[in-house]
Amino acid sequence: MSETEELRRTERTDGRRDLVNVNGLKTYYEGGGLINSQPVKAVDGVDFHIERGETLGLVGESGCGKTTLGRTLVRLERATDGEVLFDGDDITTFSGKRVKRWRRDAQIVFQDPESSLNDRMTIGEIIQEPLNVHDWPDLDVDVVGTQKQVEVTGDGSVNQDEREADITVEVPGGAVTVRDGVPLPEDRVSVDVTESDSTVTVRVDVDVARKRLRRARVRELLTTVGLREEHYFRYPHQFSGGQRQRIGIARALALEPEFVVLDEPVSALDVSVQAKILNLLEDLQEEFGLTYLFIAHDLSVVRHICDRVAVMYLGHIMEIGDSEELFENPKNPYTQSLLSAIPETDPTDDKQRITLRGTPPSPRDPPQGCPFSTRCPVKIHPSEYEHLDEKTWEGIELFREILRERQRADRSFTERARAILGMETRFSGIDEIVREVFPHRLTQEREQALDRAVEAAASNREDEAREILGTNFDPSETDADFDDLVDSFISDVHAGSHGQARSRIRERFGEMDVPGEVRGDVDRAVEHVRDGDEQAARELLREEFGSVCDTEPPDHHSVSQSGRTSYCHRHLAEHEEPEVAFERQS
Amino acid sequence: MSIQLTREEDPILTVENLQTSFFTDKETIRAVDDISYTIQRGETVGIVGESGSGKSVTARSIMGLVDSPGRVMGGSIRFREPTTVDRLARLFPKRTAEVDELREEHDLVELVERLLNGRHTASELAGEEYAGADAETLVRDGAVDMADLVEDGYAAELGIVNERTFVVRDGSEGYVEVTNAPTEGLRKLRGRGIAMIFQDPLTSLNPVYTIGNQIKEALRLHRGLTGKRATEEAVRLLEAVSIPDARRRIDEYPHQFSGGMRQRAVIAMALACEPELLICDEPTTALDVTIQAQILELLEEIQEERNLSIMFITHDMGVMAEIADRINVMYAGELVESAPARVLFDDPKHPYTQGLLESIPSRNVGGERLRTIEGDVPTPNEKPTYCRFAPRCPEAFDACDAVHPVNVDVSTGDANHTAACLLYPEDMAREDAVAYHQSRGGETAQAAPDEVNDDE
Repeated sequence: MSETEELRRTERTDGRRDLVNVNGLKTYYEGGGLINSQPVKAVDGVDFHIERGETLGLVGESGCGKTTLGRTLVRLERATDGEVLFDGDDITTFSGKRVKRWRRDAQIVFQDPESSLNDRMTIGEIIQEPLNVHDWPDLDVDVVGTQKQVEVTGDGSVNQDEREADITVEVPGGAVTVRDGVPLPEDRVSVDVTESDSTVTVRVDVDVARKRLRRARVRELLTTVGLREEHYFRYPHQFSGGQRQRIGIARALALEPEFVVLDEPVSALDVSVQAKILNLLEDLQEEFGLTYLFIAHDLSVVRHICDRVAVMYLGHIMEIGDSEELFENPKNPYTQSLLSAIPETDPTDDKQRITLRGTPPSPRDPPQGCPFSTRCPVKIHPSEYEHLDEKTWEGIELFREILRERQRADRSFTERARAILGMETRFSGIDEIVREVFPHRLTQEREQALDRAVEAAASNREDEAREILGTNFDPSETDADFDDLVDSFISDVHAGSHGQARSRIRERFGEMDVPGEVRGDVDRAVEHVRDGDEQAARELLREEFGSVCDTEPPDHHSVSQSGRTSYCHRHLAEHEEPEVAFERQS
Repeated sequence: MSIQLTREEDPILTVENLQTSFFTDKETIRAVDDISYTIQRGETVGIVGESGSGKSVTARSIMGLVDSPGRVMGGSIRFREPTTVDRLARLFPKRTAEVDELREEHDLVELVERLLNGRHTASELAGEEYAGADAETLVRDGAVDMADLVEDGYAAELGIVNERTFVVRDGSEGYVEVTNAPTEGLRKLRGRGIAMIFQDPLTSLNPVYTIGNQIKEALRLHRGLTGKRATEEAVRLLEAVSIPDARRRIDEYPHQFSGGMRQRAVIAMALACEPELLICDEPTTALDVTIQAQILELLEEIQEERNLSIMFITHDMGVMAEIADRINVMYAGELVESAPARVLFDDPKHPYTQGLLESIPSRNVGGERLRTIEGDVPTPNEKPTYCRFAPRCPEAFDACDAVHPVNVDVSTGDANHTAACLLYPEDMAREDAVAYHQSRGGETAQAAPDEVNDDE
């Protein structure tokens, strides 16, 4: 960065440290269907800022809305609500020329270097394209050394924006300086200064065609990103993945942006190539004073390159703050789960891994309360059920999840017709689900018989196993076909799944192993499902077992000195902190 | 994860001097170039390397899935699993060598004599210590057995077994030679013997059939189950891979499953055939970390339950550390280092492995620059008479361009650690080490053309 530019940048900031300020931003994709068209809430109300010159990491699972957020910041997607302040101006309200002008300041590098480069264009053409679109260079002129009204004629024009002008002319005398970013030799600019009482007229003639300037600029960019000038005339297919990503970076840098969104720039690359690109990005940031939004799902990459990190889940920012601090001591339950899922490159490490069950809910129909409530391992339980053990809670949550999932699954017309006619549909079988979800227990005597049966089957004495099961368990106790059951039992044992074989029998002949009050509620919910009213079943379960996590969206609580915030109810004084809850579980 | 292994036990899979090449108009690409390794029963062997290092081609060679313009040019892949051997021996009696029967039908001494009178020497048959010995000594000392003659291909040369033999049975022991197997034989081997899971579950699932139908098809083809029993088994399998509400889910189509669920369904399909060896080709690369953790946990559980052997291919060192018992590092078609997982991460010997580990961001947290490996992976298109990593190697010296390194023992303790680098063995002087590599490299270089000719 040249000194004048640095000066200009500091002047322009007016003491403002933030380059980007995002407030209440929402981006929805409209449903478009005729019936039931719920929008997809990709970004559902986020607030954050990015400081000038820093790298903010944005991490989360696929489908959490991180790419949509990145694209909204550079206006490749339209914001549904909220504002994005860039240098204090809300870019969501920009239109026409203003957008085009602003686009020079905010660029994006795409994830997939295969598909983001046009195969039919040479590398030179690809990088030159943004220059052509924006009619680069402006050849705008700053005239310094005078207080008079300035007029510029010839090839140049008066500099009208806050960026440094391409050409600076000093009056009187007409000494010319050309900015670093423009590959124009100063002796190819001729200046003619005429002064009158109130105005200075500067005629600037440039002796080099714009086309040549652009080509020279492209060559310069190629070397900046570590490619060679002779690559200019080659085609994308002649390059490896890492080199293609360099081309994408060169294209993004062509117009000298201040802010670059890097959308998974290294995800498609091998580690050794990835390391090179990460080093390049860091060098470029230092050289050009760039501000990055770095989107990635690889947390170790983010930890390496980012100053601050935002963790996203289902359209919300769950935790945001200083990178090192967040990785060392995550506060939000989602961050903790996400971090514990990263495979450590140390085989001796035996950290306690938190495995989340299931998958994120649909962004078309997000949970009412906390977005993470359907998978959260430390969800707050209602106080009257606080004493239930983990197994029972797991069963309850899984049962609720299955009912929710069933609601979401598409139902065909025939399916609905069958339900109306009271015929069996693939949605029936609630008893089986209850059996599968909740633990069951046999009497001690039967448990011993089961042991003997497993042992017999395992040592290939199937007939003996059949007999043991036949004498100890009464086929009339279950609605299932007893012979089928025994067959499955034996094939489970043969496949080595002894646990599954046992639970198969326990489920059919045992008692549901949960406290009485839970059992009553589950039975009532099952009754509702049998009557075809799954809605009522879901509501009943939510009322009985739901908590503030299901009903109220949390607040962003400040969780450290450095202003890190976390989106979780557990930071309220009346609840245990997440790490305490995790501790208690393990 | 790892279970007690008895050293005496034969590995379930033995890959020896495997060489797979691809032929294009311009050049011959030696995608897999003379690699050897083994997989024990119940063990997880990881293969790491950058794209283009030949990991996937190795897996496809084992599955017999190398398509034109590629071809397995030499080496052997032996799958030792008694039930599979019995099954294939029953199906292909003409292409099976029964070692017991051969023992009865032929006189071993006479056979060995014929070989010695031909173009073979005793040291070739039984090793250096028997140089010059006659047939009787060799047989009496047990230095040559009928099984050896069959395994080393002399039996086919003598005309006592069919040249196209690919199943060898010796009592309850035996193996299937995958590189010799006919298409039909491979089809019988795949699935029930060796199953494979690919990176993108959608490529292995047919979008127009329900998940249940696809699992049932596998059950019908490989285990002959049909109708209600197949349905029950399909439900059981989906439950085994922790898909909730399985009975309803089997009637759904792949697009109704999430990414992680699809990969679980694919694993269920692979398990439907009750394989002994499961090859996983980057099975979690397309998945999020939380889902990846679920799948890795599932694979570990299944392995424990069934004593399954797993060959796991990935470029993610973190995943490797988590799941593998033993790691093989590949570079440009060659195996450059092999060690138990802990040893490899603690004390990598090959400069390439060292560079690979140092370029992982999580291993050097903070503002420091990542160390990188200069240059790119070369395309292996000629016979290596030098070290393929030398142009990028920070430790390279003159001899690296002239001598092809072979895998040498670099273990400290009983770790069984090898690396193919001229820097080793460490206790030898530099020149001696180079000479050592040169002498060992010469042998393999001579053996290779023979094998190629046999194949053509």
